[in-house]
Amino acid sequence: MNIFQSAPCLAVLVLALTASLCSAPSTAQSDANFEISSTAITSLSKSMSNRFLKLKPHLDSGAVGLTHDGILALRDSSSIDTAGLLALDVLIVDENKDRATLYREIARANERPEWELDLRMIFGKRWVARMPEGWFYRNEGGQWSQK
Amino acid sequence: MKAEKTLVAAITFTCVFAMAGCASTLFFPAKSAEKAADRLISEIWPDLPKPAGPTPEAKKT
Repeated sequence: MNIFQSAPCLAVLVLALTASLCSAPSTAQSDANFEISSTAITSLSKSMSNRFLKLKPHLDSGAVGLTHDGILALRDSSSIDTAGLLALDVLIVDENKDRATLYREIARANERPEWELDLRMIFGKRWVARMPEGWFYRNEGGQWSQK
Repeated sequence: MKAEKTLVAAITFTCVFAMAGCASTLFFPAKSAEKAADRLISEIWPDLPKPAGPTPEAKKT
């Protein structure tokens, strides 16, 4: 029996294809205008922006670096005393928490929660591309390099 | 016979809808996401150099 010759099957096939096409405009719309202006995203951006002044000296010195997946990591703590290291750990943890939430919120704002990981990798790539000469980044293999 | 057709119809619908879901994931708008990332990075860390190009690793290859 050819299943496509039966009327109910054809009807369902048409319905399913229509449903699949209906998901396309959402993707196309996101392609044209990626939503990054929700209240949560703005709030996270401000929080991260305020923290940047404290992080910058550590990024400049190479104590902290960026990673391929869009977060920060401690690279070299040899020049930092115990108290300073504790403070720096808190900074990195807070920053990474904000970043994880940021990627999730952007995916959610665009009604595509499944894009969270893709966004994380894209942001990782762009942070590294945008960072100044002299800063360090860690690749997928866990190796550190200096830009 | 009717039950068989209904079953086949249900399976067809599920398969096509699942494929549509996979397609929407595959169609992640990377270029648009990169632009959005650059805009947001400029807001978060305004002192960073303006968007330049591929990552240092991409340049090597």
